[in-house]
Amino acid sequence: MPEGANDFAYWVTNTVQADRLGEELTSIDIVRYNSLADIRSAFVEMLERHLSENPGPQRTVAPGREFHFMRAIRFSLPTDCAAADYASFIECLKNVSVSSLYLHVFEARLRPPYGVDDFSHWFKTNFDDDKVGREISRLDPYSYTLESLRQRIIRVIERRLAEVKNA
Amino acid sequence: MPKIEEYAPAAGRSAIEELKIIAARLKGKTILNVNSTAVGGGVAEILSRMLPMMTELGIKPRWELIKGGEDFYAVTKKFHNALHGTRQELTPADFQLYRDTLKANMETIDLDADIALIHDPQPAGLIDKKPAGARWVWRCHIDLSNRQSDVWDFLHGYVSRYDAAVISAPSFSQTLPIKQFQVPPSIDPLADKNKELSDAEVSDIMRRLEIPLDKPLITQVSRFDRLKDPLGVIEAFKKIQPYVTARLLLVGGSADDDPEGSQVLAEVRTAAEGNPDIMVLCLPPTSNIEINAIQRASTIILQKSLKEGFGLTVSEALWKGKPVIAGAVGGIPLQITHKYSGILTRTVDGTAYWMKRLLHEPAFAGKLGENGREHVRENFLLTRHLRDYLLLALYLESGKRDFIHL
Repeated sequence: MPEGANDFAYWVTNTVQADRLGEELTSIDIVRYNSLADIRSAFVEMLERHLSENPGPQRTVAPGREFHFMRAIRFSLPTDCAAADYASFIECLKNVSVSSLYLHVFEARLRPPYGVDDFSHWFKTNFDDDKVGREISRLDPYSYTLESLRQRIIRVIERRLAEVKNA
Repeated sequence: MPKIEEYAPAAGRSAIEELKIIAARLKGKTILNVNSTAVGGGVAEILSRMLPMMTELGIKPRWELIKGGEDFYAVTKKFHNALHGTRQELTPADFQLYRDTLKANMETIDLDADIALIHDPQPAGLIDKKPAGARWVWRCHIDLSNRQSDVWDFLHGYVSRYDAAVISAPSFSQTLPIKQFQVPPSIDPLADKNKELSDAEVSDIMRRLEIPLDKPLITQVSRFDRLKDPLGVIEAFKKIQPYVTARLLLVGGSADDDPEGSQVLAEVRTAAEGNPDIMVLCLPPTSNIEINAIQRASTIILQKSLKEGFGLTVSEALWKGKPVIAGAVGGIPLQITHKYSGILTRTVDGTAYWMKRLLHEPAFAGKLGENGREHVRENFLLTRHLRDYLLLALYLESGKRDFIHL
């Protein structure tokens, strides 16, 4: 089981060993937030509350165990996979790299239309199918590894394909 | 040299397709690499495998070597050790020799290229002759976290004028006025050291090396160097011997040309003496397939380093799907997440405890190895390394934007 839903939680739990704060950071419901600014505020608020509830000398980690904030540069590139219907969508989803899933599910929710992943948006606008979106939105992507998230989404669409065929 | 397509089974089809798409945006660009040696050492090893891949992808790689006399290499060796944190005495004449040698090289090396990767301190001063319009990257393979300040201050004057710096781990970063990128090193899954071997090939090699396989094998492959703590490994193994059936194997070079290594090897032999389940094996430096087979035949692999650069031997072991117990130093924690993709330890007792645990819980040990292999597949293969360099080149060419759609 991979540990830590986010890097902050992993560091606070394993390096700072502030158990309660670590648990709070782990369980933050990131899906609730529609922008990175909102997520940032939620983290800051949580840390400020922790500091006010725990006055007095603060822990300092040993040299070499600091948290290194890194800046990200995001590259996106086309792949050979293009879906025209449910079946080919499933085929593509089986073959793209997990970074593609990251872009279309995680990052997509943080850009317009906010809170909607690219897959749900595509099924809604092309097939007027919002059931796929409802199903996918019930998956909390932060509680799966990217590989198991892929399998989950494939299952959602396979089920939907069977329903659409029988309709 | 293997073709890019041959990497698909190891790296995944999508990784290969990504490389082709990214490289297409750099078609015809010249990427120059400058370092100090064509053979021996990790940098030369990686470049010799990576540059043919660039050519296959339509990029024009070039590779130049900096030249200097023995006195120059004595100075840069001191630079290297000082940057690694081993105290060195540097004189003004040493720094002047560096400047003079670099100046001489500027007259002879062809520096014409769209993008240049300048590896490590030896050629860093070439920045004085950077052609207009070119993008230059200083690629540092050294852990700078304990660097000696006079040497770093000297180099800082050069490095600050590059377009970017590349380091292997976040903890190696320094205060610089330029952007620093993290690009960890990599292993080549198709090299003799790492390629797949059949069970029959492994058995043949083990027979030839006279390594019996009647007991689970715990192996450390490393130079006989105090920083790799071979004596600590033996001490840890002796602690578990009353409770387990296993054999310890320490594999290293002969250390003929290294007085300190010979001394450590002698101490290791003494510590192992009279213990039939501790084997010490010296192999020539070309024994890549043999090392590969030994790792594949092992039940547990150790890398009990006390200090380490990046420690790529850990990725080599993880790639073979083996549970690895390693010291939590240098770049090793980037390769192992404790109790998920391996075990990190800091003491002899901790190492002993985890050897025993993993021998007694083969299912858990197997899972560690499996997770470790996937972690290496995603992060430490040559194809990822090449991709990172190409993305960095694109970033520099694209006007340094944070979101780039190709």
